Amino acid sequence: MLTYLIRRFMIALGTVWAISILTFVIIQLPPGDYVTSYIAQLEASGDIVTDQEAENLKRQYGLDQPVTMQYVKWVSQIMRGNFGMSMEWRRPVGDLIGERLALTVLLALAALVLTWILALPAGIYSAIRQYSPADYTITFLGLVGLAVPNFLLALVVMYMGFRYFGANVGGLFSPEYIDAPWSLARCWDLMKHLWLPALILGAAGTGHLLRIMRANLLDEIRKPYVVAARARGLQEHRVVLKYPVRLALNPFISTIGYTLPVLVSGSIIISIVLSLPTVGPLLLKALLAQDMFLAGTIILLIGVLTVIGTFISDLMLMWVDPRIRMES
Amino acid sequence: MADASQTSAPDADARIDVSPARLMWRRFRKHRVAMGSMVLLFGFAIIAIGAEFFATTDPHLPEAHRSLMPPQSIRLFDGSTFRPHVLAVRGHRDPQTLQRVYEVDPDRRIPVRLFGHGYEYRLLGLIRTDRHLIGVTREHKGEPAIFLLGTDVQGRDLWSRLMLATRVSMSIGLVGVALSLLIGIVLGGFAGYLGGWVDMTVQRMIEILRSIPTIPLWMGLAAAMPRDWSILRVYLAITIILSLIGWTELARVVRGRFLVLREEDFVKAARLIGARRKRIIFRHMLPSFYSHIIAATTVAIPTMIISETALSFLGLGLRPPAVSWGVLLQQAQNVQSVALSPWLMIPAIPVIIAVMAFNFVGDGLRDAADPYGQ
Amino acid sequence: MPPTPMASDVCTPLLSVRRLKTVFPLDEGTVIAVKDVSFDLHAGRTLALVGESGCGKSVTARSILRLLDRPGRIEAGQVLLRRPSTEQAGPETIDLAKLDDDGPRIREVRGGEIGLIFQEPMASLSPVHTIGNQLTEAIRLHRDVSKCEARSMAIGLLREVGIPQPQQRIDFYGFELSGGLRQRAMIAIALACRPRLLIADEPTTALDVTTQAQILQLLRQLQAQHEMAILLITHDLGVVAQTADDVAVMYLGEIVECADVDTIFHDPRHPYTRALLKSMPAMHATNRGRLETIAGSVPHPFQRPSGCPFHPRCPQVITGQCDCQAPRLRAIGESHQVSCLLEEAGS
Repeated sequence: MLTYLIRRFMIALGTVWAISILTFVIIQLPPGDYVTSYIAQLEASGDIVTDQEAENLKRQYGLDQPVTMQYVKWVSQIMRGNFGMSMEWRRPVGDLIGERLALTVLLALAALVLTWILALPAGIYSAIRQYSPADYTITFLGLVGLAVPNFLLALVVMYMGFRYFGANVGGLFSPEYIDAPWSLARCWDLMKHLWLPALILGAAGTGHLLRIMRANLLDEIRKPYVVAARARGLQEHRVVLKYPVRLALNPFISTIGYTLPVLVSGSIIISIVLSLPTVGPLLLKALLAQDMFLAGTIILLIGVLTVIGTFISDLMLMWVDPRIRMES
Repeated sequence: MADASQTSAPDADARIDVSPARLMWRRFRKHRVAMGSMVLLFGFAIIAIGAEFFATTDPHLPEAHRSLMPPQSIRLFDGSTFRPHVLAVRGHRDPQTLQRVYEVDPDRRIPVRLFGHGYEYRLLGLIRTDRHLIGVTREHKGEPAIFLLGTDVQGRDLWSRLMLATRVSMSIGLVGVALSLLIGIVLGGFAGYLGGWVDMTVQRMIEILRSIPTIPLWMGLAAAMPRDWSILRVYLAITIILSLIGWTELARVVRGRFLVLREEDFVKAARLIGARRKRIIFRHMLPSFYSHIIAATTVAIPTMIISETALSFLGLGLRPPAVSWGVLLQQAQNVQSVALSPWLMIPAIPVIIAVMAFNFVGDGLRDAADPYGQ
Repeated sequence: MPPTPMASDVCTPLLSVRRLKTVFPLDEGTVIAVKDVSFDLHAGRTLALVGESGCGKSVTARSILRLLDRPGRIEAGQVLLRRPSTEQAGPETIDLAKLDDDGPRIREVRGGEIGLIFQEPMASLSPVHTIGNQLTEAIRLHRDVSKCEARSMAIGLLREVGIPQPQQRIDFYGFELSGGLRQRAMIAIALACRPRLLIADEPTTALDVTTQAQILQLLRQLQAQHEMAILLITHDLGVVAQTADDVAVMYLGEIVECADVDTIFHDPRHPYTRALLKSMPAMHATNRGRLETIAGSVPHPFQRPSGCPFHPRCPQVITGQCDCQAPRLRAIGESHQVSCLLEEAGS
């Protein structure tokens, strides 16, 4: 159990490290160093940057040192919570993304929960009524969810909302709450807006989990221990719920590990289509404007949060599956 | 139980001298949906190859005076005589809203015919011709007339652009998957066959890559491409970016099969009678799992297509003048334009159809690939 | 066909299977897994159902408990369970084949009156539930007791089937026990409510030989204690010789020979029974020659041979008769029945 924990933790650390390298590469990729382009941008907008200031900036990011040292400097800055400045917004990156990051996480989690609420019962029903019309319908809907890229789904929903309800379904807040401070009313408003993007975001995952659930359950339902439970005189629906569903849940939980990255990825792109105040639109703008600090930080933080989420799902898996718990 | 499972065992006598590929094909044909999807994909392939032939109007020719024209339909009958034609359309600018509005000119009919004339192109890059699947008669040649799916903001024919986009998007999917497959087979194969630290390293790499959200990474890498690259370079770069991150699933499948097969009795037997490693891999192991690889590859293609579409849609993938499904969908990015010209969303349809078809074919292949399946 | 009385027994049987026919309608055709099978089970006795894998032994057992996998179903026949008189009602006979397969009545029978154990003790125990969880579930399904009482009953049961340290083992998962202990736990679950009949589907196949002997010993001992009937399904004639009182040999879903254990081993009449016995290594064999095998293989279920199902592999086949005329199971002696044209011709 401890070895399992340590192993998962090491993998999580490795992943964070890999993400930081990739992010650093992305920040470095555009031609020219970023301090130069930062200064150029500041000057273009009428600011005067003294040579001393420029020199300080360069030293701060270790531009006079080899790439590996620059990487170390960059990482240690981030560890201290200094994510650098956004060139486009002229504000510290940390300030810009705080709330947006929280909303991104919220959206991904809402989609995850919705995915479960939909996929679990539908998958179970589909499996125990295999080859029934309901099974075919559910399977087909799942496939549609899987096949329609979520940004297209978002597009269609936007169009429908606009066309038939005359409403803009984008955004996460009603206009009066967009800049309002947090309050109960604002939270409620958020909830009212959150379900639709979460549903769009969760469609593909629902289709995927549905198929997994159905296949797992069909596998499990034929196993001797299920027949044994039935032979004990247990009612059919209790047999199914207590044994195979319980077991089919394990791969379900273990899929969180890779559903989460997919959800976060998806949240970026549908946020852009639905103009949700998450990090998605900010990332796109930053990338198009080559505002690499902002973009890099977003990519890094999203990656790290995903890794944390995956790690938590690993812990959950350990908790529900005694076979992993007993592994020494 | 034993009895029930036996019933699915194939009739041994009738199957003795059939190759695995034939067997797989036989089982695949039973899946009607998968077969139908296969036919559909063939259609896509034909369109991709002969895109210009299926186009009706020069897909790159902008015309400001026919911007955002709604789709036209071909009328088969003129009165009661069979004379396929389209009604000509007159456009003018609304003096109040300053938008272009179009109205049908019922008196002018432009006859259309199969294999009619249109703009000049080289079929398959070789044969110079001006014949198209649907074209006008010679006297109407040069008069851009048929806009089956309407036009985009710049007044280019959406149908013709869609034909070209099919070629680009499908080929990105295929080339990207081919690259992923190459990486996947090499890394997954080594990991599965050699085991030990090689396996450990590859597995950790896969795990790490799988737990990173791909879209932000893709976006970051794609945005880092210099703006002045040529279409071809961007195309190649995008393909490489997609496959660099997309190989993990294929590697996992290959590795898994290798691991299973390594322990199979027939491989052990081959090793025991002293077969060389190369012979074991190519004569004994590969034939018994290439079907699984084919299935996994088929399922990987739609992911590539969706990724390319998504990147291009965001303006980070292929850029105009390149044409792909994603590039076409860029114009459908905001609600206002979609609400006014809903036909701009049409390029989403082939994306969805292609993705579903590849999934169905992949599923069918996967079922058919299992030699002991029903 | 006459019912099959086991002449040695005068009292009414606990369970009578009459002309049971179980089919699996599949896309490719209908498979007849069990055809016209009849037998009786008596309290305190063990009937062994013997045959190669795929001959319909397990399907027969599952038909009795109505636990067939889809699309299998009982097409004809009766499964008559006799109940002794209770406080509420007098003695009655119920036909299990007619019950709703998820109804309360069959569920009362499952576990309550008929217990079932399987070949693979590992697979028959849930990997995510403790032994105790499954055992108390079995108890509380049929007995109105509290959780606490059920637990102490469960510990008692584990002790009874010979599991050491039952207080601790009750909280173990199946995969934490050795194969023998797992099967003992499985037996404890099956016997939790003192069923009058135990169906043991290849209970020792997955175990090693010493454990096998222990489990068989345990079954015999429990049978003696509780006057239980056992339906033992096996392909292992050694197990049959050790445990069974009566033997029914099955081939392709039909019973081809049925007799008490001594008769089967010393005076087998059906060519298939003889072939089975010859393919078994004998303890005191003098010549160390090759064991005999049965020519050919079990035909594919879709291609059931006409006439006698065994005729394509039978060394004594009468061409022109065996392949067109189906033999019937008929008594040839006291408690000895055979289904073979050779015997019909002889008598």
